[in-house]
Amino acid sequence: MSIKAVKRKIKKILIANRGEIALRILRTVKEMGLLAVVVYEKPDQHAYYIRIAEEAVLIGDGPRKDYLDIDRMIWAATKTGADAIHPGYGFLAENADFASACERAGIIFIGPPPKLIRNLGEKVLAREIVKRADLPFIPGTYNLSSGEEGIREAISFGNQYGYPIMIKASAGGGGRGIRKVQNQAELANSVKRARAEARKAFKNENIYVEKCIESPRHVEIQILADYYGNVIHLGSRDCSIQRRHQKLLELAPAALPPEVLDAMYAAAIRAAREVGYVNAGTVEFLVDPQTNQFWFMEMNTRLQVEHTVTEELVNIDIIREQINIAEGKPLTIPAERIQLRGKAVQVRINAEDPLNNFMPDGGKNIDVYLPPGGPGVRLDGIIYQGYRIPTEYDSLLVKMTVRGYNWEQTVQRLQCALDLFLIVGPKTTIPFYRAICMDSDFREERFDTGYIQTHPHVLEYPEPVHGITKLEKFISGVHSPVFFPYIY
Amino acid sequence: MLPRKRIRKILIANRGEVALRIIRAIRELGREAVVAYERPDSDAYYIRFAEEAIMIGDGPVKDYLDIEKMIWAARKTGADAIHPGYGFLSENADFAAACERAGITFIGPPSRVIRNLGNKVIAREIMRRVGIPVIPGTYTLSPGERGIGEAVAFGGKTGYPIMVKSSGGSGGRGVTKVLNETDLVKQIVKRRSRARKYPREESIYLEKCIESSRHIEIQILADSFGNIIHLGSRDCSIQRRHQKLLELAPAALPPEVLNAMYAAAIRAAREVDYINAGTVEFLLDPRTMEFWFMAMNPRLQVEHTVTEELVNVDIVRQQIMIAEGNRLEIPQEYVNPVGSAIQVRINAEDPLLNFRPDGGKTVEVYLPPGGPGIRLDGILYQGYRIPTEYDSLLVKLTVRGFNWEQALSRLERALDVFLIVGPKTTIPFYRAICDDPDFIAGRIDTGYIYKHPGIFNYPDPGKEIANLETFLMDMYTAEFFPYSWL
Repeated sequence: MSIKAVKRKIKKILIANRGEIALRILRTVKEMGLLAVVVYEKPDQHAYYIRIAEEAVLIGDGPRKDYLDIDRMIWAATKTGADAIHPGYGFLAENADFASACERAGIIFIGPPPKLIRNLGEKVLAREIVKRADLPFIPGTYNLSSGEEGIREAISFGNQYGYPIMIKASAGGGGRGIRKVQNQAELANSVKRARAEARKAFKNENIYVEKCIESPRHVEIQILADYYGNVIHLGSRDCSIQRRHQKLLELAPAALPPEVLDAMYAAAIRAAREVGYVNAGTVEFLVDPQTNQFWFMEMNTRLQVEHTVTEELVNIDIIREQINIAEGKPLTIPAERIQLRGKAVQVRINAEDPLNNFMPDGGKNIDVYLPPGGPGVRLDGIIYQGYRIPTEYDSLLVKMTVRGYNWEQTVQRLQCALDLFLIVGPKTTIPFYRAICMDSDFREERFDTGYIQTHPHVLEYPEPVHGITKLEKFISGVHSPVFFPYIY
Repeated sequence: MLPRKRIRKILIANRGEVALRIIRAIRELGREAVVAYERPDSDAYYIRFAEEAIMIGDGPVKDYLDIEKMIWAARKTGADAIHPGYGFLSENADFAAACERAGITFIGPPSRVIRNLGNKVIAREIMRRVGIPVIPGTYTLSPGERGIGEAVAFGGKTGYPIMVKSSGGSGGRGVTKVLNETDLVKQIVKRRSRARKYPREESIYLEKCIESSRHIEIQILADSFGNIIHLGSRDCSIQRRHQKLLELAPAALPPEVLNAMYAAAIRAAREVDYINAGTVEFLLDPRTMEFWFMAMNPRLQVEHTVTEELVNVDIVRQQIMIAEGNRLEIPQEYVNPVGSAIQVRINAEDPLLNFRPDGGKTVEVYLPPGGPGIRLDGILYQGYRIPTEYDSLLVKLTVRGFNWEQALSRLERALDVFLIVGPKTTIPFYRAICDDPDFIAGRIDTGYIYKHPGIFNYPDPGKEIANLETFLMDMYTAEFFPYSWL
């Protein structure tokens, strides 16, 4: 597959997203001296970040539906004269129809071409394509036939490879549309339910079955590819610490022997070449923690939430590279500049109560916001003292990324930064991450995707609320000689 | 070799942002921190982050300079080490000696090293003897008429302008440029008459003035086993009255020049038996790439941040580990200063009024920038009242980029949205520097501020964000910039 370059200077970029990622994109657009347009739904109208863009366009009352509305995005871009669109992550980021609509409207879509998004978005098709690149695959089926026939196919797969097995929605992604089946008795029912869920969630009822690798590690390789066949990797990320297949904490590089990482880099680059990949992308692998054997899982055709850890490590602005590539420029980063030394960790600080099954705690005001600073601390967030957290969207408040010389120092730095990170108002995931920092397995860099289940004590911290019940108490705390936001 | 010991509790004999910087490193290492504070700092938020805080007096400034009180505070709290930060007692050999006598680990070089380096004339002589180029200059001038005779003779031989310096000065203090013989004699007489009040100014020496030079410094780390590494260079040429304003790393110089400077810095450190973190300052003539030793600072520098950003090494952590008698954990090969970092000191000052301090104000709104490549070292927050008793440094903003262009554009975007409502700050001044073609091209030297009066021609941003109400109103209009003139 070959895609030809559109050599065109971008002048004005519309950001088809919201929240921290909109601000993240804005920052790069500004640094490059380009103009930024933000679109927003009404519940976001008071957000501070939209004041930083050159233009802001209200696209509807939402919530969410207007951020998912292709026609409105194209309308907003046309109206403001934007010649390019950055989709961020989530919302329309992996929607091939959106990328095609941009193309038809003569707007540069900052991401891979629509055909690639479509092919890689269909997991079974993606496996087919990537198979040609000689990548290791987890044994699995094609899309199951409909009805009883499909159930029979799943049963015969289970008999051949043994349980547990995973049923996956072909159009799923980012941890959604996955169901684990322990034995044959559950299988028939699970197939039916998985199909119904897939139809509802992705408007595509295709599902397939894969052998379940128990508690693997989730390791991914960040790649950059230009229109001229140059493909480079920016190292690995370990995203094993998840809750119900949703990533919580990510780090870079993954703690794996150099020869394993080299093999993964090579596999990721082969996969990208085979599909003729263009722009920034991520190749996800599952790794058996015992044997370090790895299998291709999927390729994400967008910027990832956790791109920050890679940026911290290699000192490369991935969004800047995305824009350059979209303009038809060749990659110019010399290989010797990709230095994978040190360590970086990102935690997603959400307005959620980890002790109450991570129940979102939106709708609150941020009464006090005192974030940490100093060496190796990066913050990507849109909150400030006085901000009201909208209930309409996800509960991500701020991503904190810390960087250190080695794992030991990085964990110490993370813990220190969390200790001094004060958010009064909503409940947050800060004390939960702090509990993880104190866990000996984590400190020794031993974790897999089963970590949260196998380490229930990270969810057994005393409610920090007792220390800072309300603002008055907080202020009086500040004026006592010793004060910690998280007293325990 | 230092005796190996594990430090448990460190007293920070300093205040403000550097006290917080040190607390962070101590906490990361899992040690306990004690902060000593004067009464005007008792509301500071950072002192709550230490395990203990101890009030040492009403100040201002004098108690932070009081050796006895610091030793008392360390003893009282059971601290087994003291970190002096920068300024105050950090380069005071008597303080280091007092710590040594009290059995408290001084996190810095031995008192003997501080004393030798503190006398600039002795330091110059040590370097000259081992073949490190020093700026042509005199020894300490003799007293009376004889000294004046020596000065006039030196002027006649090297030509003017000449720098008159105090042997005990540091950080740009006690430096005066004179243009001719009359001024030279006047300056010497004036300093001697003041010597009763400022005894440090009593001993004077002269140096040839290298016009339009650049101020380049090399950060080094030395352990007590004789291992010395460098962490690359910094360019601190942008100064106002010999006070640094903006620093960057690495210095834009050909690799062979930098390598020669690294070698000279390591040689200098070896020659004085240096231990701990230190900085070797050089003056460089950008036309000939010739460089001369100026001073070696036996302390943490304000601008250590740019080095940390570039090489991903925590210098304060290394200081503590060296003081514990550990070997350097970082091999020289790890240090590969690629990319570019810039630090600006955001002060509560009005650059348009000759940088007049604007303390005593309350910070009504504080919205700092974030995202990739942004580091903030500051102690202020929304609601903080800036004390008038101390220096006007509010927060240090350090940016890091893939190369100079990217670091510069990052600095620009960070300053554009950096919102501090309350005091006047140096933010718009730095923002104006970002637009100057000479700065963009890296054509900077120590005369930069004086040769570029254009950077002061920015409209007063105070008019744009006069008060909180207009700011909040602006927030709710479609387009908002804190500095709308940009």
